[in-house]
Amino acid sequence: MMQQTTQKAKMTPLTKVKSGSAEKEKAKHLKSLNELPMPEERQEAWRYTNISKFRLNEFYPFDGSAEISVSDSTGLKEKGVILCDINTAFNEHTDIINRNTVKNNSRAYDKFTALNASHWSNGIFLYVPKNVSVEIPVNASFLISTKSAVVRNIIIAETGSKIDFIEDYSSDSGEECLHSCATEVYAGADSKINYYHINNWGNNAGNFTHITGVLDRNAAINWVSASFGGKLNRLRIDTLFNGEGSQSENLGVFVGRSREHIDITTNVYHNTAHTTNNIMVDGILKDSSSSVYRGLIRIEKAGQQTNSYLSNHILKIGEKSLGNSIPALEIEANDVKASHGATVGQVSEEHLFYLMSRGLTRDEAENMIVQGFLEPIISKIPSEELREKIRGLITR
Amino acid sequence: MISEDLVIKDLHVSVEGQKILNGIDLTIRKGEVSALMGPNGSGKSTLAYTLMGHPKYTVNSGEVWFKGKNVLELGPDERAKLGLFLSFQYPQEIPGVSVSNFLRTALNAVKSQPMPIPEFVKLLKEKMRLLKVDDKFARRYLNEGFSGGEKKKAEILQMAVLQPEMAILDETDSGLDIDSLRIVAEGVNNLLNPGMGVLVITHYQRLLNYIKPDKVHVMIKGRIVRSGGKELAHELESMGYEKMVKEADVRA
Repeated sequence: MMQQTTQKAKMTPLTKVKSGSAEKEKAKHLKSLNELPMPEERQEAWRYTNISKFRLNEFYPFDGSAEISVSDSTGLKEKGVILCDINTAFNEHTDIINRNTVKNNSRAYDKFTALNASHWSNGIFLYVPKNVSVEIPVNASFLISTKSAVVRNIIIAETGSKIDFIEDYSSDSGEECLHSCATEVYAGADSKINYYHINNWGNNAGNFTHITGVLDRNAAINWVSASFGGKLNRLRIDTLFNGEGSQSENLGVFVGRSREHIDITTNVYHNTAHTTNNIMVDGILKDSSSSVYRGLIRIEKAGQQTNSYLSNHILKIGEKSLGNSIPALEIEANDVKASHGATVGQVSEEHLFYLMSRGLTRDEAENMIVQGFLEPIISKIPSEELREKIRGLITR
Repeated sequence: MISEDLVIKDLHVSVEGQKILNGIDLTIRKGEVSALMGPNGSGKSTLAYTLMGHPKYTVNSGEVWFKGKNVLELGPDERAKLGLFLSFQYPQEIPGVSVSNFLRTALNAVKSQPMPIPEFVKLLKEKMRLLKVDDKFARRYLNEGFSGGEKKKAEILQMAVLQPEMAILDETDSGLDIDSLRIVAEGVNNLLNPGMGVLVITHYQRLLNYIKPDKVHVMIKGRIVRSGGKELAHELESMGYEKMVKEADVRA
């Protein structure tokens, strides 16, 4: 809590403006929202998440905004970096937006995507011009204190640029709320983006976050995600390798508590040759929490010489917890290296006894095992501050 | 007066319905090294686990007293806080938990006052020197990928840092080459003090050449059949357990 206050002090609120072109853009998706059916659990993208229990209409008219604060960007303006409200961007930078969004060839579209596309209210726009390296990470924090909040973010790194972006999402209370978020990340040729996503929801929050990364030639996106809380906490990260030689690493951790349900998807689409991907997502399930992890590696015919790996490990602490893992490979090319591995296991009583025999209480021993289980991923996160923050959320 | 010794009275223990210990009476005194010897399957490790409170072992009857407390009523963590320590025959590998992080947490758990980090680092370095392990050892994940010798050194390192009042060493010599055995035994000898009792559990006399016992007890089929001084260990070395097993069969 202390940390959050000190961080806030350095952050400035992002004011929301009105935008005619944004309204026009949203109107295009209204029909789809009304016509598309609610997803069903039998659909691949929703397996093991009982979405039929989620009453979307209770959050109508989906008109809330997130309270967004961003780190000081005054020094960045001189370099041509733009950091502003998404509506401002739709008023002032439509050319940049249109030039990039056309590259997004993702086929993912369902009722929740349509909801976001037709109702987003605010969000951030971050633009890094050609060959600009931003040395200090850009921070954005999103606080939800309304019944619903629909957010859209666009991040664009032009050719040869470099940026670290850190975002954290949380809800104010234990009240029921809906958070929908769509983020597009465009990594231009030879650019490098380190993208850190932390969410920490109240236990009655429903979160639907969909992040799409689009990579040009030799671009790199390194994702780090940490998910905590939520009655239904859904995070989907799609990585589209559209440019030859592009690469991505995706590290994720999550912890489920009480009756929370964590729903993580990491899909990668190797649409071209010589691309590299490595995904590691590990999670802890306490109490009666549940989770589903879906990870698809899709390699198109054009995706020769691809290296793509995926691993998912889940440790169950709660006897009533339930972990599901669905890794999948779809390979059309014949000269590739791809593999996936997944495990779901229960915490070992022998481990607990060993630690307790040294004086740790059962709770302390469990916490130590939990932290240790996620440590191989956490230790890979390059920022010490973030490592400590995530460790703190794990043992909270 | 509250006894400072570990006193075991008529202890009966079973594992998964099978009776393993059939009435153990044993007193381990502070400031002394007691050895518990016996053939495989005689119940030595069962006694060690029972004293530390492993949930798999069911105490059917009997008492264990230490510092005025009935140990059997305490959880494993409370026993550790009371000053009991078990060096495991097969230590668990705990991924992602560094030796140093674990030891600091454990030390702060058993002591009433948390130790400041610089003081802890100094203590850990001193004890690591004692066991001839290099500084990297502290950063490695607990027992993960350790050789047999490293695992036993890690156990004695834990004992050295936690400074228990009653230490049970379960087959600490198993899986050790002669050099590691000497280092581990020297480590234990260095820790001996009037405020600590030690129970060395071993199948062979070998370890007792390095850690000299004051008392030797022989366990066969879940009972103590002989007790004596260190000459008893030598007697076993020359004649083996066979004769005592036969005697035990006659009595049973």
